[in-house]
Amino acid sequence: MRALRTVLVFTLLLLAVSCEIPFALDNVSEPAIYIELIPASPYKTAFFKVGYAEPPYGKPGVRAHTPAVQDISLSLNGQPVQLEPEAMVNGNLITVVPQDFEPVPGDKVDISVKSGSAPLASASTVIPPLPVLESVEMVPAGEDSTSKTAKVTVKLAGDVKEGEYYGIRLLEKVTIVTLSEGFQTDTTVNFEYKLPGQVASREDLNSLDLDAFANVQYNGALTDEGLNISGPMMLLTAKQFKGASYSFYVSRGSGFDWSILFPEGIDLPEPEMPLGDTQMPDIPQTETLVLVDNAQYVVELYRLSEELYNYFKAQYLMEFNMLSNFGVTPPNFTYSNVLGGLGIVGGISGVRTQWLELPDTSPLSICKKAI
Amino acid sequence: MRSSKYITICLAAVFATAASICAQEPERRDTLDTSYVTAVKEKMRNTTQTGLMRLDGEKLRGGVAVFGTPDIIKQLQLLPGVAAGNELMSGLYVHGGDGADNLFLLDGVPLYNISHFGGFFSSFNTDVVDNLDFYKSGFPARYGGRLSSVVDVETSEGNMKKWHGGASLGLIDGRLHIEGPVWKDRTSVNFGLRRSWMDVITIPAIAYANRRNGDNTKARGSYAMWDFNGRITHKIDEHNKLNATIYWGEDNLRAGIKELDEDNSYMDMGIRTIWGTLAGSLAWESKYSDKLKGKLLTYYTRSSSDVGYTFDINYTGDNGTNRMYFNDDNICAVRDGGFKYDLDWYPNSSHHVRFGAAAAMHGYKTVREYQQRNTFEGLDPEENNGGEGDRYLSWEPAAYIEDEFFISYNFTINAGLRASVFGTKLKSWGSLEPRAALKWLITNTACVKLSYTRMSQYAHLVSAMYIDLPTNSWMPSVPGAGPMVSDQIAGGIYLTPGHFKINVEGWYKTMNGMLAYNGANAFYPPLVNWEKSFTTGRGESYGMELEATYSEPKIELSAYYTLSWSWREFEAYSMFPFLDHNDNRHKVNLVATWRPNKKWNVFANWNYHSGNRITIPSHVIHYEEGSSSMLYQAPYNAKLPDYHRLDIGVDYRIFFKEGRMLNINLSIYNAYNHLNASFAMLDTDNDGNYIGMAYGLVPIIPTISVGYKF
Repeated sequence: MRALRTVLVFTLLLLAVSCEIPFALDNVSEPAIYIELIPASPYKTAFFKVGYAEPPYGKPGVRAHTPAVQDISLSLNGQPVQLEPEAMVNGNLITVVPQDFEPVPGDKVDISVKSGSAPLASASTVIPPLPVLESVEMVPAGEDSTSKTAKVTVKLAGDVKEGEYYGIRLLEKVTIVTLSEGFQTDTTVNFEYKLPGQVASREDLNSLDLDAFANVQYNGALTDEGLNISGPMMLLTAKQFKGASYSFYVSRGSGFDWSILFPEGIDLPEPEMPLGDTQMPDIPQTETLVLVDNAQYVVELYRLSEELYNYFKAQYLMEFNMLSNFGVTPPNFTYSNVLGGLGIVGGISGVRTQWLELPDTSPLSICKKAI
Repeated sequence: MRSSKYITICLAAVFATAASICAQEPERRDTLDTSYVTAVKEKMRNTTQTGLMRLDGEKLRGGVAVFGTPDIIKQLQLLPGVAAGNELMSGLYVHGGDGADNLFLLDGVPLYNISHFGGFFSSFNTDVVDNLDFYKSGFPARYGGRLSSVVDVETSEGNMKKWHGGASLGLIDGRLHIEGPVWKDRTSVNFGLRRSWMDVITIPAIAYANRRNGDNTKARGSYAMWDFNGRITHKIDEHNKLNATIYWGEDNLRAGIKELDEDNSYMDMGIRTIWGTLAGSLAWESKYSDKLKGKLLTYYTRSSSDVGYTFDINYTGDNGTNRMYFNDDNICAVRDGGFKYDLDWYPNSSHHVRFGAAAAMHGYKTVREYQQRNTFEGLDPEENNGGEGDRYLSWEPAAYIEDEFFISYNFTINAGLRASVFGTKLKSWGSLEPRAALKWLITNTACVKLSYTRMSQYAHLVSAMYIDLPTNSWMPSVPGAGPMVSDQIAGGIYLTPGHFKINVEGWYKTMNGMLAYNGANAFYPPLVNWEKSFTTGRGESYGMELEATYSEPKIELSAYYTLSWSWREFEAYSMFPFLDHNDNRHKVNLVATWRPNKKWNVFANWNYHSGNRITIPSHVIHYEEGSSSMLYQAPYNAKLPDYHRLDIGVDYRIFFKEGRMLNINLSIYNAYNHLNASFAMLDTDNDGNYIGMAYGLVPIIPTISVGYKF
């Protein structure tokens, strides 16, 4: 699909080469304040961003104005929130750290900024209620020559209603055990956010439906390990739930990931075995062998405020729906709920499961046989 | 938003007042064209509805023919209150509509797909068209099912006395038309056939290029479109008549490439797309008495498309043949079967009552099927076939009644009510749609009209683009994407002083339950659970139209002006209302036709409208070290440069004996070669300043067509 879009884009550009029509941008906009504040519950909202956005008719790279912390007024349920006096400055954008800012579901967050020649920008959001998980099931859902798949069904306590918005993230934990001459010498744990449903099945690999995988990068943290890593979040509306349930797939390749399996520094031949072959290839005897343990997963379920969902969806479309800028599809743009400015002020709340084990997909047993 | 609405209403009122002052009964001039002018006046006076344009077949066949083919939709695009959307396409955005909310009827049969070649040509063959009624507001209760307009096309019955016909050849297509009596004064036929002939050139050209190329790579490609209209009319007796009609049109696009090696290994990739419409009807018209007549219509209509691609690789290894084959088909179809029973009752001289009932079964289908077969040497073949799809069956009964009540010579009211129900296995909806129109005849040359209408639409076009693609599909209302409803009030003053016809009309329309695509699949909107990728919102449109026409037999001059606003409110796009893609603030069309004698017919039209709206970055945030990021404050935040173009054309006719005639048409689209912007992006100039850069795609297009009539 990407290739198809690329071909179309280039075709349109070729057609357009000889017929450019410059036009004025003077009336497109006025200077405005940009706000990016995503207050979250139950964990602490560490920072937010405020910037000075200019109309795009000046020279690129010319800095006009940078907001200051004193320009910002942030409140939680009407009570002012203290801000660290020093902000990290990057051009016309500052990163601000609020003090003791831990809103809970139902709290109202207001922010207003007046800086430079831009008009007053203000926005508010309410932290959405915590989603109530009734159950999460992970069951085997097939196997082909390249992967093993499990189906994950997330069930909420009640039916999802129109106007409710959710996000799902899937954190994978893989334990890597290093053996040296038959003794365990090192254990490392790798964490990575996977995109749920990305490799659902052969069927979906052929699918051209990009909307089924609407997702954005989100860097909130809900794990016990206190991780703060960015990872993809699937975006869901009530339309994607069946009553109270939503299902997605998680898949692991049944072949070996050679870069993980063998530590750097060991000279290995390229594997000749086809991906998915269950026989161990002819591996030269080495002193060190690394085993990849069965993967475990945490399902994180978020409830998004409507404005945050719209903002995230717009972010996704910005990346994938390039054709809108050619005037042949509906528009894409950075969604904004900031009155008098632009940006996003949207609440989010989330819950997580315990570690779940993907059944029967570990290559560990194969490695053990080889040993 | 609100203030501009009041400005519009005030402007309309000022125009109306000024026009009414001028509306004095002119001195009667005893010229040859008195009957012509009188007919125009009569027609205007007889119509209670606002927003109605009636065009006869001769008018539709005249004018500039882009690519040598007269096009009904492109003629409607010239009218006030209508935005055309993307250039050369068959877009019809009426009073702020979304283009998929127009009811197209061909001999009473609804058509879902009305264009060929991605929207370049409309499906209506003007050779067989008798007349067309185009409603933009004031919809009578007998029409329903779409929000924004009704395009009611009637084909000719066919000559009951003599055989006539014609053939013509244009730049893109050729046309054949024949009509005449099978049984004199009792049974007639009228057939029209169109077919593009580009493939006659492209297939041999590609074959020649392949041969000349000489290597093992062979390309293939062809495109053809055709349509057939047929109508058989049989007069059973003085009071009964039967009509059978058929429309069948198709587009067929195939392309591919095959690479063949000496060891018979090959790689073959291809796409094939077939889409089209089949519509047929059988109508029985009866005159039961002097006061009651009726028409029973049964019909079937189907629009379908099949978009497929194939990927086939075959190569020989050491131990045998390896083959990877993949085929994918995306099939969309909508089928309607139904009947309508319309009755006209004249209980007395003050009332003309129309009432009737209709019922239709709709079948909607979207299916994706794929077959995958992999054969590798030494391994068992792998086969993977499957598919997914949605099918809906829905029913839609409706009933209506309307009364044209002639209160006095000066006052007429058309009041009506339409009731309809739409149901699928998932959910049912009902709708009561009041319709009312009032006409006040101030003088014999001036009248005032007002109307209010509510319309409902249960079917949705699942489309991710503003152009007609075969991947678009029609789907019923479902939970989460229910019916759309519009309310519209319109009013104006209508004058016919002498050879002039001057209309000033204003409207205000709201549209609720509108759908907008909010996904990333530009070419392939979702086939399954389509509603997940759409968001609902509302629309608002208001404005005024001015239509001034000067007519006499040899010359006709028309000027149309539209001042309009078209707003959208989709919370998924923006918290605030925003102007629509086709919000053309000003639109001007000047149309001139001059017939100096029987041989020559010269015509020109000049089109101007404010540019379509586009979405470009509205702001930039600058970071350290010269980097920056672009931001968008609202959708459709910029306007493309204004659109204008001049089309000119001439018909030269050579007459032969017995009414035979050769017609040579020369048309020039975009005569002064002004490239109008189709899309735009943010760019930088030589000094590094950001500038808006639009791109135009359609240059001057001269075409010639030759037609022979007998």
